[in-house]
Amino acid sequence: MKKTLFSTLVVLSLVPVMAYAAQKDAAKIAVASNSKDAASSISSKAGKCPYYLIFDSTGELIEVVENPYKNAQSGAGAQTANFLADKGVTIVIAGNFGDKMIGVMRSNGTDYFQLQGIIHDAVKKVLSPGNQILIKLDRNLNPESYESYKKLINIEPNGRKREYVLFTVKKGADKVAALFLSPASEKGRSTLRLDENMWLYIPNVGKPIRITSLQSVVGGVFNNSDILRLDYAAEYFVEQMEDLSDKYILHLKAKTKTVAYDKLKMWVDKDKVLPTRIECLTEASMLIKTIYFKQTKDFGDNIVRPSVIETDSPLQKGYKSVMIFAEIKKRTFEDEVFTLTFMPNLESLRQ
Amino acid sequence: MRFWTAFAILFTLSYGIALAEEEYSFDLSEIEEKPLHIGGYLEFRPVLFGLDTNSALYKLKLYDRDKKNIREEYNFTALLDGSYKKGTTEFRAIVNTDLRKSYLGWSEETTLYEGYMSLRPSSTFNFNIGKKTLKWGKGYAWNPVAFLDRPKNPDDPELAREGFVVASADYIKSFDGPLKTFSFTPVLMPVYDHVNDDFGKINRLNFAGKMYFLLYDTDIDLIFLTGQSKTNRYGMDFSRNITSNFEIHGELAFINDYKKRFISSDGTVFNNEYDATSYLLGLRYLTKSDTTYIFEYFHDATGFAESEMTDYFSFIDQGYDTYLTSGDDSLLKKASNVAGGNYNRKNPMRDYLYLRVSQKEPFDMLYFTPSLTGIFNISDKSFSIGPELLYTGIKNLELRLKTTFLVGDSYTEFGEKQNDYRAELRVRYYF
Repeated sequence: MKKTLFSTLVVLSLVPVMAYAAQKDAAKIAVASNSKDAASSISSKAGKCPYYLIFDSTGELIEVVENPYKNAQSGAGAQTANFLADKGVTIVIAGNFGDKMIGVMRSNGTDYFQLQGIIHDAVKKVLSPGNQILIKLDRNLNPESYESYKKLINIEPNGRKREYVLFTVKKGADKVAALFLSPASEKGRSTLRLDENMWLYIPNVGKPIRITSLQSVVGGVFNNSDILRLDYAAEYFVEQMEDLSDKYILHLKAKTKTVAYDKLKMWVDKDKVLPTRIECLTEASMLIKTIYFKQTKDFGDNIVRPSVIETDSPLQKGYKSVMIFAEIKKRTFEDEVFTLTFMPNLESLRQ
Repeated sequence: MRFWTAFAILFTLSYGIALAEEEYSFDLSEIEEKPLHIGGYLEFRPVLFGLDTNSALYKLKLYDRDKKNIREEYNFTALLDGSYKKGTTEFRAIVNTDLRKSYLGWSEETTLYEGYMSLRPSSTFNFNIGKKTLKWGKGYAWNPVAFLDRPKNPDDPELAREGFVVASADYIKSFDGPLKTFSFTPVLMPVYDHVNDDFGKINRLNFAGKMYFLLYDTDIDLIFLTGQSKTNRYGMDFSRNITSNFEIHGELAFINDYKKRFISSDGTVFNNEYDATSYLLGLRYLTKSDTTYIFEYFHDATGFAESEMTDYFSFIDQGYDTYLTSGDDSLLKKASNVAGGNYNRKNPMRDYLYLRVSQKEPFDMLYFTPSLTGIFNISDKSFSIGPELLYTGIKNLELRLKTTFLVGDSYTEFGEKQNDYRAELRVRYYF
C-alpha cells in the first residue's frame, strides 16, 4: 500500500516537471544585443538593436542574426517582432519594448521579457522552472479560450452583501469580455479588455467608454484587471522561486508598467500546480491585496481548479470580495467577438 | 454526555458549513438563458424650479401666466425594455412613458425609444432594422459627430434618448498587428411623412456610415451623412488612453452649407449659409483616491455669436414691453417661432467648457458618489454649476439629489434662462 502511495506521489510530482520540460523543448529564445557576444549586456532597444542572439531550449546559443530593421525610420518594433516570429522565436528578451512591438508579439503568440543585465543570465532566468510552472498554472486555471459564469460578491464589514453575475468569454493571451446578467440595475452592461485597453458599455446610455485597470466596475476589492484577468504569464515573469516541501513560492514581476500590480508573491500547490494564495504588491513591496483560492472543483473537460476566489485588502479593512465560478467550458470564438462594435451583442453568445 | 458533546460539535460544524455554503451560493437558475426578457425602471422625479421673472426666456415662455418665483413639477416615468431572442434573431423594444404634473396640469406622453429587429448570422456581421439609437461620437457632454442621434442633454448626458427609424448593419474584422479592429456600419435613414419627419427635409432617403479602427491602441471613427434631408456632413472622432488612468478624446465635424436662421434686435429674420466646422476635445482622469475628472472644450460652429444672442434677447424684451403696454404678443410669438431648433437648443452658443468632478465613496461612505458639474460659456462668461449626490446602497434602487444654479449677467445665455436654480430628486427602481 505504502509503495503504491509513494509511486503515485512520485508520478504526480513529475507531472509539472514533465509538462514544463515539454514546453522548454519548444522554446526558442531571441535576446536583443549590441554585439555578437552572449557575455555582453542586453540591448535596451528591442526594435532597433543591431543583433539578436538566438538560444535553444537548453540555453545553448544556436544563431546570431543581424536585425534587418535596426535602421528603419518607422515601424521597427512591429517589423522586428514579425521577423523573429518568422524565425520560429517563441520568447524575446530585451531591455525595453515599445507598445507597438508588444502588441504585435502578443498577436503572434510570442512571449517577451523585459530584463536588464548579462544575456546568458537572462536566458537562464527565463528558462527557469519558475516561469515554466507559471505557464502550467495558467493552463490549469483555465483553457486558453473559454466561457464561464461567475458571481462576484462584495461583503461589507457589517456583513451586507452585493452580488453580480457575469458571463465571461476569453480568447488567447489578450482578449477578455464580460456581460452582466444581474442585478437588474446592471443587466446588459459589458466590459471588454484587449491587452491593456479596457472599455465599459452601458446600454441605453451611450457608446463604450474607456476605463482603467485600477477602477472597479462593481466596486469592492476586485478591480477591473482582476475581473477581466489575462494569463499570469502574459503579464508577469518569475524573478525568483522558493521550492519548499509541499509548495512553491513564486516571486513575480510585471513585464510592463501598465500591468495593475508591480509584483506578485504566489503560493503554488506543488501537486496540483494551482495557486493557493497571491499577495499583490507595489514596487516598494507594499501589500495592496491578498487573493485566496479555495474549493477546488472538477468543471469537466479536465478543468479542475479552485471554484472560489476570495480577496481582502489592508487598504479596505473589513471588506471582502468573493468570486465564485459556476461553469467553465472550453470554447473557441472569432476574434471579432472582442471588439467595441460587438459589445452590445455579447448576450447572443450565450447558449 | 459524550454523545451530547459530539452531537453539539457535529451540529455546530454542520450549521457552520451550511452557513458557509449559503454565503457562497450560486444557483444555476441565475444563469439560465431565457428567450424572453423584460426589464426597465420606474422613476419618480419631483423638481423645484426657482424662476427668474426678469429673464428673457421667462418672458418668452411664461408671459401670459401668473408671475411666480417658484414652481413645482412631479414626474413619473416608466421605461420598459423587452427583448425576445430566437436563434440568431432578436426583437427589442424600449418604451418610455412620462406622466407629468406641472403648472399646466397633468400630461402624459408615451414614446417608443427603440423598436427593432436584429439578425446576427455571425460575429462578423449583423443587421438591424427599426427604430434605434446609434450613439456616435466620443464626447461625454456633446457629440458634434452624432449626425443621426437626437442631441444629448449636457446637464444629464446619460439619459436614455429616442432613436430614429433606420436600417443598419455592422461588418467587423479583427487583425493581428497595429490595426486590431476594423468595422463598418452603413445606415439607411428614410425621412418621409410620419417616419423620422422631425429629422430634416421629407421624402428623402439618407445614407450614413461609420468606419471604426482600433489602430495603435487608439479608437478612431470616420463618419459621414449624405442624402438631402440635411446638408452633407463628415466627421471623425478618437479616444485613447495616455496612461491607464488618463484618457483623451476628441471629435471633429464638417457641415457643408449649414443654414443658420437668426433674428436682429428689430425683428428682421436673416438666413446665413456657410460651411461649419465644430470640434470637441476632452479628457477623463482618475486619481488614486477615486476622483474622476471629465473635462471638455466644445466649439460649435453652428452656434450663435454673442452679438446674435444679445440681439435675440433684446428683441424678446421689446416684445414683452409691447405685450405689457398693448396686450399684443405677436413679437413674442415671432421670437418663439424663430427659436425652434435654433435659440432653444440646450447650449445655443459657440464655445463651452464642461467639467465634471465625481468622488466615489468619500470618507468611507459606501455607495455615495457626490459630484459637481459645471458648464461655462466662454463667450459671455455665464455658467451653470450643479452639485449632485448619488446613493446606490439598496439593491436595484438609485437615489439622486441634484441642484443646478444658473449664473450670468443680463443678455448672457445662463443669465437669461427662465430658472435661477433647479433642484430635483430622482428615485429610480430597476426591475
